[in-house]
Amino acid sequence: MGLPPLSTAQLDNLTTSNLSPSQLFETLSHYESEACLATAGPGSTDPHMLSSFYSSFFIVHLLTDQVPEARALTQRMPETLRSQDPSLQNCMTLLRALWQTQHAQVYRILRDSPWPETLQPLVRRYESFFQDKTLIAVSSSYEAIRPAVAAMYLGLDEQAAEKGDPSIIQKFTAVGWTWDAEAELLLPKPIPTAATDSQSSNRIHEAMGMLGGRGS
Amino acid sequence: MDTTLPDAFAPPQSSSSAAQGNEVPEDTANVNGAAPFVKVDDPPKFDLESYIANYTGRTRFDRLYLIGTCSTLLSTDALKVAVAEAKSGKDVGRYEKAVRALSEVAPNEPDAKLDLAWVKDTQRRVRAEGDRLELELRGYKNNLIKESIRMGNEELGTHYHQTGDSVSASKAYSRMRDYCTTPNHIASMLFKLINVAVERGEWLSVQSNVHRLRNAQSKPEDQAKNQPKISAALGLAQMHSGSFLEAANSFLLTDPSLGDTYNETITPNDIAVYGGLCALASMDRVELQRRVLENNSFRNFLELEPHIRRAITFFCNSKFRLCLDILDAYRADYLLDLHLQRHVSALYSHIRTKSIEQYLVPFSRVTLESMATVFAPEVVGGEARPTSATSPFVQELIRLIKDGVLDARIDLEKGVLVSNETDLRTEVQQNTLESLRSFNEKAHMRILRTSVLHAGLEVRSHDRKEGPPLAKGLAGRLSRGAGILG
Amino acid sequence: MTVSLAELTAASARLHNHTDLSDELYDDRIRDLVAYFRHLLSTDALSTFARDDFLLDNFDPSADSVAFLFILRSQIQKAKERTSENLPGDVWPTGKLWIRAVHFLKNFDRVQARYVGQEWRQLVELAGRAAQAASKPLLGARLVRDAMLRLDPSCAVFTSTHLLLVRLCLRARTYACALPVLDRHICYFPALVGRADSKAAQPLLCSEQESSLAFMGDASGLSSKLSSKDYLQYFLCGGMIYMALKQWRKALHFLGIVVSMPIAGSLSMIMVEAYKKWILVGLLEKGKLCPPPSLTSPHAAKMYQSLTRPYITLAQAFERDDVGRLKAEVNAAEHVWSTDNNTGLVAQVMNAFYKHTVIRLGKTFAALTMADLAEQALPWPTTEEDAESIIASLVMSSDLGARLLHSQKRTSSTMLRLSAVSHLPRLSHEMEMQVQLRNEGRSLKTLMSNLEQSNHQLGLSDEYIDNAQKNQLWAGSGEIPASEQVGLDMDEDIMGDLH
Repeated sequence: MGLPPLSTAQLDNLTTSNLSPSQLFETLSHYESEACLATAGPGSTDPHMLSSFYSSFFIVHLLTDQVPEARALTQRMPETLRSQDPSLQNCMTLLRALWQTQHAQVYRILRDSPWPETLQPLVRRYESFFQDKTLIAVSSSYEAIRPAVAAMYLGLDEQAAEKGDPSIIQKFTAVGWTWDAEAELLLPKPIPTAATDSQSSNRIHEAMGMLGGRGS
Repeated sequence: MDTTLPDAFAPPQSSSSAAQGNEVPEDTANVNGAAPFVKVDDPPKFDLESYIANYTGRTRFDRLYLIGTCSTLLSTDALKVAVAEAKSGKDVGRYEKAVRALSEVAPNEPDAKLDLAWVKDTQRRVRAEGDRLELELRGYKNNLIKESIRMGNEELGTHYHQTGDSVSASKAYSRMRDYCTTPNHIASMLFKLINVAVERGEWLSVQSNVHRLRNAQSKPEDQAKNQPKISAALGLAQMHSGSFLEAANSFLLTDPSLGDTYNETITPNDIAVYGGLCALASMDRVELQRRVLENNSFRNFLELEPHIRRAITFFCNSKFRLCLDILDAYRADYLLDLHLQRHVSALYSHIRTKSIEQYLVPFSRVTLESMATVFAPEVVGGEARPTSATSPFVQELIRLIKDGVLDARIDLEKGVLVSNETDLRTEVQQNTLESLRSFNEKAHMRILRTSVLHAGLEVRSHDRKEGPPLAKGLAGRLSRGAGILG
Repeated sequence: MTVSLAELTAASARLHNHTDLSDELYDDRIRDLVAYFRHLLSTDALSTFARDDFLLDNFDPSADSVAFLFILRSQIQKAKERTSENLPGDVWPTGKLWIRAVHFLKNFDRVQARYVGQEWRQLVELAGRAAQAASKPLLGARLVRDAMLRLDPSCAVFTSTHLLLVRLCLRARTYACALPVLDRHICYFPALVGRADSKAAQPLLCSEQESSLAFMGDASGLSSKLSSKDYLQYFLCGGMIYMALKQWRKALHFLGIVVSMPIAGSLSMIMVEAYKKWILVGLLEKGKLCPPPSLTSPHAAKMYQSLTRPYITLAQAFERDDVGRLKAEVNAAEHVWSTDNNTGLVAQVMNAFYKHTVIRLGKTFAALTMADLAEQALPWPTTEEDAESIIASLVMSSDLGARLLHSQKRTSSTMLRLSAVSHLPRLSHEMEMQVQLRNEGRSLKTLMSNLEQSNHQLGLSDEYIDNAQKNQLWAGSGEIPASEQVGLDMDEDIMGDLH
């Protein structure tokens, strides 16, 4: 409540703020109604502002790990905007790459596509979010991995990695992986993720007790 | 009348093992025709003459004919003996069948030509004999002498049986029932019925008559005398129905006093072979040791077929390769056995699967290499990668795992078979979560349902409350939306 | 008769500072106020204010909910009469009355609203209609959802507004928006209330209620009259929202509810629709043909069998691990899928098939190379790289419990080690488990308190017994009411292609 009206300036404030992804999502969700209304009057609204709203909102969906809903967002944004706005076109290619889990492509789009200046902070945020997420997944999905493939997953220089570039190898050893120079393989180590809840471990008994007590 | 085993149990035929090139899938449409369903090219270990000498009665012809039509090596010899065997009796159908078969394998043999004079003569004698017996029986009936009627029917049954009319034979034998005055009479009648049923391959009928025999009020000493034959006949029927464990039990219970008393159906050697194979196919090592090898009475049978005893001993000592080798060596013999032929591949594949299973018991992991040397030595020699996913042996293991026979997984990286061990803690956690979830879902469903019933909101046929139909026309718009990305 | 602004504000002000009042007194005052406004409405006394655009500025919807709602209502009514349109322009989004309605629905007082249930609901419905009329269902979706949650945070009593919400969300394609309502278990229907313990002391509407059932009964007007079709459609649409978000398990639960509802007479087509989707979603979630829930009546189960043949044969081909047959079934019944708006789901089933084949491999193999895997599980010719990237994404998304091993210097194919159990580091895995267990436990507790509540309701009612007996007698006439069109196709999953 009491949000200032949707404007380019307000969007800039939000995208450069330190708000958590879920806070950003909440706020932008509130603005979607305004954006939706803004598209009603032809010519009356600044298409630049709308593009910047929908692009930001899209990236925030990704930042909160809501890929199917991000896709729904692309389907409910104004057709003309989606098909003409370069920044939203980037969003679409990005979505496609994510859906098909093409990591190299995702990094390429995030880095090399002409994102507007105002969107850069969010794009950078998502890039590092995606990188971290992938690193965690690779760490527990591979027992041994060629440096070039690891570099591909994390958007690092594949060719340099292939040659065993120490600066790249060092990035991996820094997160606990081991470098087997002889085999030219990286040996990942699972990265424990912080659980959102860490209470005592009597849950099973408790749960079983509940089931037993109530019966069915 | 034709007597080549129509099988009342319709035996499993998918079991014809692909590994064995000399078996041709059985042609069910033509069970009683001249065409043999199995071709055996390997030489059997037995000597035809002494083999057939073990048997008496009509089974001799059936066995000779089967060998003659299935074995490429023995066909002429066996069929010549079969022709002679038929000609010594009065079953014209059999004689013609044997001559026909012989003329196909050895057209130049003098016996391959029908002796039309004999045929005519025999047919005439058979008819006359039959008429005479029917007439006599009618006379007995008029005189109302029970014993005579019973014997009249018996003679008539025997006549029909010997001339190949087994349907009339079993009718005649069944008619004896009302004239039986002692338990002995009943027992002898039932045995005759069993013999006809065995010959016709009516195994359900064998089982039901065995059941009647057991319930017959015979004297204990007669009971004891009949027991071996009853067990043997029952075992045979159970084997044919594919119940190998039950069959093994029946054969194991057969008393050695059986001796040569039942040679018109089964010999002590057969008991040893049938019983041994059925036991191997259905029991684990401990049971085999305790119930077969340490069984004093069955030992008498096993001594007649020492290789069966050896095979079982090897199995018990986990020397599976040696066990399977023995069985392989005798495969040709068993394929030429009247009763075993159609079960050889099922029995062998059971035994093989069990060997693999038992082989794995003591290990949590075994190399595929060492398994292959035991179970697929021919593969180990030949293939470049005997333990690759495509090798027949690994394919066999995959099949066994998928069928749930083996509780293990194949590790193609290390070339081992790993038995499944579960991480108990994780499993308990996962199960708890799952049961909690599904409990919640079910509880919610029940609560909702109760509320629906209570609110009187069950689904009715005439719910006429109209809401705007949802999403008419919307569907199309939504369903193709994805194309925009394409 | 006329009335002045001062009189109106003074009347409404009697509800301010209610924290100082006893529940009884507060209840009295609200009831008085409602009666007062109803009277004003019926005597047309508010008509003088009909065109006063600023009148409502004098009222705060969070403190003067009753007054605000009635005045707004009268203005809307007048606008309708003036324009002789059902949805006057002022009510359309961005119209002045729309803005007032939004302001009210975002800020109303949840206790006062209980006394004006019918007016509250009609305003919500109007907002929903206006949003749709303007082709901006999105505006309605969020508004309706927030209003519902504001009125009853538990959302445990089914109302006609529930159905309105899911329809708006489906139309607007704003799926996540519906989750705060969908994720709460519905346990009651308004008709449950008042029957059982009408004699017993009714708690005051304004007092703190243990269960929202106390103020959401039939008499409250918070729901329009319900039929079975309403809740069937709600759960079907809700299931479709979960499908759009790929929350298959929850979708399956919702569909299961529809499929297993008690029937008195013949089956509803909505249930048949739901059963078709149930089969497909079952394949996606569990990789097998799920039998209907155990509560399904045998009659219904039989009807499903005969009415959903192509779906069942499809599921059987899936279960039998037979790609060729599966493809053939998919192609053979193409018109069925598209008539039923299930083309998208079927396409996803096809992809899930490969996933489940690979997962099933884990039961046979502890480790194998990509080359072996491609041969065993992937039917189309695949390069090892492609196979590896498919498998890697299954592993990285935790769909497949396994780990990959690259070999030294590309000398041989990549190895896949399939773990029998989850391979995550124990610590974080257990923590995750604990969180999930706790969530389920919490949900169980809520359900249990609801169960006690409904036991309480039932225990007092003989009607339940009658009803239960009556329902033993359902005999299907076999007639299916036609043309109950419910259907939105789930999007074809063209982007998720494995190929």
